[in-house]
Amino acid sequence: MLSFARDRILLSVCVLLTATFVGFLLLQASGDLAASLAGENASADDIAQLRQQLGLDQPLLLRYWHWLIGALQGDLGTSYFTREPVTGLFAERLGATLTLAIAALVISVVVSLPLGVFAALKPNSWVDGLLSLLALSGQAVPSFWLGLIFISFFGVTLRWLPISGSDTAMHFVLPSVVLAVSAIPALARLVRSGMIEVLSQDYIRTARSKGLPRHRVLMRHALRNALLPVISLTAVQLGALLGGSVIVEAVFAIDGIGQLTFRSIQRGDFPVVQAMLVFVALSYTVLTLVADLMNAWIDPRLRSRK
Amino acid sequence: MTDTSPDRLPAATEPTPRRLRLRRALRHQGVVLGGGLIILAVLIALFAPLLAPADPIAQNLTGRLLPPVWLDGGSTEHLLGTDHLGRDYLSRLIYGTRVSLIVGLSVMALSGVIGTTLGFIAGYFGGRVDMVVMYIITTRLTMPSLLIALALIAIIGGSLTTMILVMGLLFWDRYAVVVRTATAQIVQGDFVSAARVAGASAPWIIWNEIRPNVMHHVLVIATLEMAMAVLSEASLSFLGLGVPAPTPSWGLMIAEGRTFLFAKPYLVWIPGIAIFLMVLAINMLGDGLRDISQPDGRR
Amino acid sequence: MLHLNLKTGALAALLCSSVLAGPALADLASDQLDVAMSRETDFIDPIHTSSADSHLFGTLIFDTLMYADRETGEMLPSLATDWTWVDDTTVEFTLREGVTYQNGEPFNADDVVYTFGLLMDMSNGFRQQEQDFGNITEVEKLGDYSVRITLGEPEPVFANLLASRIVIWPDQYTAEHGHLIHATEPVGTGPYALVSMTRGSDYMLEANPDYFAGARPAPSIGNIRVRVIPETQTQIAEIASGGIDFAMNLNDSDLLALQGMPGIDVTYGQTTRSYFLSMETQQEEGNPMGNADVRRAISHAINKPDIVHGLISPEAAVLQTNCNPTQNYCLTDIEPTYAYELEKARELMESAGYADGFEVDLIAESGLRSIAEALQGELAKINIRLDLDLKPLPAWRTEYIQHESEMSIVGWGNGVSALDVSNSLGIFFNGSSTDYAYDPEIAAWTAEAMHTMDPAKREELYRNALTRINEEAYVVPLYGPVAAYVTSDDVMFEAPFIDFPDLSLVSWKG
Repeated sequence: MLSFARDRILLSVCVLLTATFVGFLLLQASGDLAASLAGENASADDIAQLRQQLGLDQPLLLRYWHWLIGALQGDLGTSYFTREPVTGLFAERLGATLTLAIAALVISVVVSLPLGVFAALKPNSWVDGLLSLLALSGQAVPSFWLGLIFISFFGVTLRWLPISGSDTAMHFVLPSVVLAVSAIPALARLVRSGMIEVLSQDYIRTARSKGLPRHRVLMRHALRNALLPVISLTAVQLGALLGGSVIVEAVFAIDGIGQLTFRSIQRGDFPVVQAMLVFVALSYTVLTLVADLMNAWIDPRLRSRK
Repeated sequence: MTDTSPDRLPAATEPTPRRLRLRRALRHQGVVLGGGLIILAVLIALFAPLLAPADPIAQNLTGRLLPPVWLDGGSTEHLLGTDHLGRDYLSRLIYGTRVSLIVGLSVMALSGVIGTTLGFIAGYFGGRVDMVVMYIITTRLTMPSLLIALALIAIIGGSLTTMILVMGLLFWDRYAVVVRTATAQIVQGDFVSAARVAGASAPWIIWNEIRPNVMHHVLVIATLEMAMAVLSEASLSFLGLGVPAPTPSWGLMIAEGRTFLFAKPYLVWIPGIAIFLMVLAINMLGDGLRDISQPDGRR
Repeated sequence: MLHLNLKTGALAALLCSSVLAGPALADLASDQLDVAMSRETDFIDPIHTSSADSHLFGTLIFDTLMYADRETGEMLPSLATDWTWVDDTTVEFTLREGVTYQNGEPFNADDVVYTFGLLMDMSNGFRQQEQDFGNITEVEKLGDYSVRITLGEPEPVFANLLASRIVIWPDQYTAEHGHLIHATEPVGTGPYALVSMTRGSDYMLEANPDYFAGARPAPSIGNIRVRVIPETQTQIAEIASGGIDFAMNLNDSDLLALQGMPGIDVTYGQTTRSYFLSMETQQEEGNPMGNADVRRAISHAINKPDIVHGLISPEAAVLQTNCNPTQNYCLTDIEPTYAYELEKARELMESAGYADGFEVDLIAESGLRSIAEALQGELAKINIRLDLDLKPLPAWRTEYIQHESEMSIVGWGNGVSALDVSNSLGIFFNGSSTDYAYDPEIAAWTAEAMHTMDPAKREELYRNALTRINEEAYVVPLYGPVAAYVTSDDVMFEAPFIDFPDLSLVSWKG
């Protein structure tokens, strides 16, 4: 188990390094920032001086090295645009995005669990049909469109919920539902197929034939086992949710890291975009690592498999 | 990813698995409905010049924002009205089918080729090769695809080709993961060892022995990726980084129409419903294909 | 560090509100003007950057030596009570006594000397520092409330800067914390103080109870909250449901949705901004636009009135000369002009040898998509095929500044800083990398006009420049936009003479 964990962690670190380096490479292709930062009417000297100030005249590898050393010490550089430390810009906005992503995750789990379980208990019933319909539709609605429609209906027509911003918990209701809609289909399907598979296993049949109450069999044995892949998917989904939050944050005017990244992409504020890549890569890696280790701990057979 | 592929077993006296599958497909509602809608879309795209009542990029600034025929002031001349530049909305919708299909199909194909190739290599050779491929897959998975696509397109500039390339180069992970698992299982089969003993080359075995047996997985993933590409095109267009004007695209139509979301909601609803139907059809087809390849409804 | 900022901000809020009289505290919650903006701004003080948004905040938090009256544009005494031009390059200010900064620091000549010192130190890297402040050569303290400022060369538009960008920072506070402190915890003498903010999205300002009320009255609304809402449809939804009282950046298409909606007022005002179609005019092999007749054909082929009134606003100005008529010295009687005459355009194309047209890349900011598409449609009629490349504003700027544009839609100027035509002509016709006309004479005329005090002489120079631009059709002047101020109907607000609004003048109706 220990050596499995060690290998797994080592791999994660290598993957993280590669991912950040690839990101670094991609973003470096973004043209000459110094020229746009220097502004209209700047002379060639001004631009050269600015380039030197920002360290843009150094070779790529050296720049990555400097960046990496800084990042390991918690210094992700300074925003070209606001001249503030990136870590601060991030810390200030992380809360809103995490609230949004976690709320969306909770909503999607709460909705997809019972839906998936019921559908699995009676495959091909009307519940099952409803599930596929919901899953299919949920995947087919562009989230910006759904967001605007929610705003006009729940915000303007009915006036039930606040429309934009992140002042109170109520402000997060509409955006997290919109975000959840895109995550529910995959989760619900996974719960359904996991349940169907577990229910057909011998030990469940045994437990049932022993006369254990149906709901106890369901909760104790079936659901618990069916949840394992759900935990793994949840880790993956969180990354997708963070990506999806770019659009949802724009529609609902939530100033989270999604908005920050999108704006930074638009103005070529490279240190901020790079920080976002690190953040997503790190959270994805940590979450899958935890999920893997948990699964390996529960199911020893997985340890030998790479 | 446990998988038991029952159709792999040879059946001597029964009809061939392929014909069986086709027969099953034609009985499956989702496949018929989804496939039918997609065929319809393909036909509309192919025959757009014949179907469209007007030139989709011809502007008429004096005839801007005319309402569709069912609203006050609408006329049969412009069944779905006109947009903010006075272009016929129905014609734009019809021509927009092309962009959605081209983006969806090209991304599906490009990412499919990359992903399945990686999956075959990893699954067939195993060991170190597998480790390297897994490493690549994991690295790719740690990078947020929509954000990278946004950044790249913002840097390079939006065009149909860039968009397809960027998405194609990013969306291959699911193919790779699934094909790798399936291939690894098939490789252990007797017929593969037999072919090896007979001296067949790796590419030959992969193409002739393994590929036919993983195709149904690939098809299911392909529908998922196509749906995702269609939606991503819409999202990128919404964020102002989609196909360049004047090419009509549904995502672009929503993006341009949303200025009038409250004043003229149909400008957003019409292309929105088109995207919804297209993605729904692709997903129904994918679901159906999965059901057919796994008759007991298991996954 | 940031947490600290937030905490000190909250503390300041607490202190300020406890200083306020009791009754004010009671209806603090309702006495708040909610304002929506579409874009974020990098800095909220106009010295570090210069944009419509930084001027909006700068006007509230700080004061300038002179104040541009928002109704007439007249320069009124503000932090300076009086000023005399000793000669064309020397001006002496008498400063107002008894003014204190929001942190209690008294205002005097030292603050002015200190602020000008920073403006003159080019290592500070303020946006367009050289262009805006490079002409300031000396600042002298003549007494506790009297300073003299010397310019290198005569600068007729210096007053515009004095009334907009040059806000006066407190010397002790700024020296102690560094000038970047004004990006996060600004301290000025203005009618509102910043209480807290999330940079880029949310700003809370509170009325300054001790405002000296010189050129403008003491603020009447207790709090102003400015939020950045990037999606305009969300802004409209907020206005419709009462969540926002004042939207700054909506355009005419957006307003369509608010037509006939009860409880909402729309006021139109003028702007100093103007948009033009820029062309690479270098005469070289393979550049059809090096041919003046081709450019004239392009000018004739665009139906400006239809595009501008249809897509921008019926109130927007259709431009015939390359400036907005609201700008000083923008002459509108320039000859020749180019009316929409398709036949003539085709003839010109044919005689120039381009009957079959050509292909050209048009780059523009993505917000200008509909204009770009309309131009694409118009020029297709004379066989010019435009490849549109729409990109985010910064990416567009980079390309344009690096002189990589073949054809581009350029929008330039806002507020007081563009009140004089020198602001736009001086940047796009000055021989720099943003000059795609390559006309040394125009560059010389605009350079001379920049330092000429005699109004008649300036007018003559600008007449020369604008005439030459039209003769050669170096650019196609397009439109001057309108500013639409959308408010809920319990808000009292008069549209300012140009797009340089002062939110401290807003009050509640009744």
